[in-house]
Amino acid sequence: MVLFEGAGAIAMAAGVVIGLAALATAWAEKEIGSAAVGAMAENDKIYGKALILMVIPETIIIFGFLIALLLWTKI
Amino acid sequence: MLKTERMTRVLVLGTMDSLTETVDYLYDSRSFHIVDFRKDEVHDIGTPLPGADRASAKLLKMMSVSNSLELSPDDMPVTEKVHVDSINRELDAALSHLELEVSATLHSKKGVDALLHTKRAELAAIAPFSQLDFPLSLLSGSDHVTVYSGHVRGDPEAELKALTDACEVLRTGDVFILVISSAFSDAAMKILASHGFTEVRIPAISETPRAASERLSGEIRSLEARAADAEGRLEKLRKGNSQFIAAALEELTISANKAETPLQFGTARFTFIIDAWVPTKSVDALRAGLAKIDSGSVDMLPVQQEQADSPPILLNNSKAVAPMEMLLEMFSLPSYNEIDPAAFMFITFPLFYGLMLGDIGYGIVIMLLVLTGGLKKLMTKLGMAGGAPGLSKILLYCSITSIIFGFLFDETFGFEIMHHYGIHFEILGIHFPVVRMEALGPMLILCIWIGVAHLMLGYIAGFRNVWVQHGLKHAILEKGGWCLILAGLTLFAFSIVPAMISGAGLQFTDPQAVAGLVIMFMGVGMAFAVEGINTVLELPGLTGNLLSYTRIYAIGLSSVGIALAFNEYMAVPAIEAGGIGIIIGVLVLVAGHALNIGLGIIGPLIQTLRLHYVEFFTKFYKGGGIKFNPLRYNRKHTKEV
Repeated sequence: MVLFEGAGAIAMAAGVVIGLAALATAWAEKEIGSAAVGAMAENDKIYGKALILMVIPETIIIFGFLIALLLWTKI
Repeated sequence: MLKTERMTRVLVLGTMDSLTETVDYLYDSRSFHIVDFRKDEVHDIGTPLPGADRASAKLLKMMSVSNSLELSPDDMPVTEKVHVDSINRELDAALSHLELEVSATLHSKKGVDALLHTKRAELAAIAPFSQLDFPLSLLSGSDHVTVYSGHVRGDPEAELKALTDACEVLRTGDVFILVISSAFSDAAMKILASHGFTEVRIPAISETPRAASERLSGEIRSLEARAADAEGRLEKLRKGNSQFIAAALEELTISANKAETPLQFGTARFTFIIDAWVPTKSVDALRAGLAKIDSGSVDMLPVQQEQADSPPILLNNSKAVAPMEMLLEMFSLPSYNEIDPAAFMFITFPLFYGLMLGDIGYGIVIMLLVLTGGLKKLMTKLGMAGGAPGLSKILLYCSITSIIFGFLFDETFGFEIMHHYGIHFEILGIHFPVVRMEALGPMLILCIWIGVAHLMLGYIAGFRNVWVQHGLKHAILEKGGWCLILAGLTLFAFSIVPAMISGAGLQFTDPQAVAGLVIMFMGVGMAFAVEGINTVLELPGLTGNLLSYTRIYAIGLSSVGIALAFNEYMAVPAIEAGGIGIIIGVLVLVAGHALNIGLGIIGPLIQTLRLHYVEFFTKFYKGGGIKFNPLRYNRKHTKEV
């Protein structure tokens, strides 16, 4: 039995992909962000490095975005 | 450019009687990065120059005067520079005069303020009883009569009257006063307590409240006049002396610092020795300058550079590239033998930023924000004033590329104006404007190619770094290997990925894919010889790095998306509805685009930084250099000639 098929299924898959990737990014950034703020309270000169560490997990959602885009082109 | 300034380690040697002049020369030349001297058999750590303690004491006194006057010399505007000679001539007299004047005025002001405080409190105590027309000392009570005064809830009078006739109740304002025979005082207190009695003390004055408050008001007025007079005198002192105080503080700080410099030198009984780094290009000039001191009693000798030495880093870029140095300082300065990548970033940073933002309107707004100084004000408000000067120049470059790509993408505040007027053109066989929302495939491929080029540049820079540090063979095997891996991976991916997307499945028959794989395995083999298993482990990372460049398109899309949402779905329908809708529509446009510009400054900036710091720098950059920090001072409020 096929539960999902057609354009609707692809759209749903794209949504799930970008949503889960965003959640993963958010989770990772939350951990890094709280640590970064703590570290900056000790030494505020590391602002630049903290900022960079903070955005490292954004690669995850870029991957999610790519897959969602590729799926979207198939609709 | 590309190389940091070459440094030479020198020893400056001289006789003790020329030490003061030498210190002056070191500061004036602004070229000596002092290395703290370590005690040896002959030389001890130096002692401060004569007069150091006097300069510090004066500095302390002047700071106390400045603090008492609540001056902040750092952000005082410079109206006229004071000559150093005139400061030194007038300093002692001015300091004792100021100290005396300021402390006397502050002392009298404090006395007046304290008195004013008590008088005001007294006046406030009388205020509740102002309606009574007899001296309040009559209500002080005696052995036989007790007086209660205070606030009560409800009216306890009837209950009190029931207790005894020997009582009298007065009301003035909301204060309830009970005069009662002392025999009933406890019982009366209970009744009052049941009405939530809170006491208001009756001030012990022998006058009527009106007379007392008139007297106090008069006294307060004269005290206020005296306080204003003292404040006026302080203001006059502030106005008349702020320039001199700022100048004197500056001069005293400089001479105190100078006087303590020999703590970093080595001294013996008759000679001193200074260990320092100087820029190689100015060694001869500095040596000649030192030789002039005291007719040749000071000399400077270059010393052999040891392997473990790490010279301080002075970045050496042209004026246009110099703003990019801030991005390196934020990460970590390059070490002495590394390439200084500021010149690369001068090209790639604005390019990536422009590709992400790519909007004529936003570009112009950012450019105006930078040129009018509005951005600096905004950043100062947000508490980020430190990085503002360098950052605004970087944003200026970025705004130019944003405008250029805005033309190529036909975006003006998210509107397709060129399309509306039917403008289009062709460069190198590509039709412009390219609408980003629709050019999905080509844009993604462009991003990957940018990534390939950027990473390849990184590996080439890494090749040079490894060559200088570990030799040519190592460089060819390690970085050359990675260059091959990147090239092979690119060939392979561009053959295989389109086939996968179109659903043809994996097929290794395409000669391009095969060639790509072969080149990649050759690269892996070469790098494996140097790095071992790490090479294999880092392969997926390289793929991730390449895909990471697609953020250039993704961030751009999000910016277009937000602009479109405000324009097409909110503002335009509202404006078309007419009437009040026009006002709402314009408000939505202004607020929406202000938000998008804010995001448009921060988002691309961080993402572009990340592409450089994470993807690009990891291919060649280690950092960890110490900043070249020569002896020097800046005069803002004073002048020497």
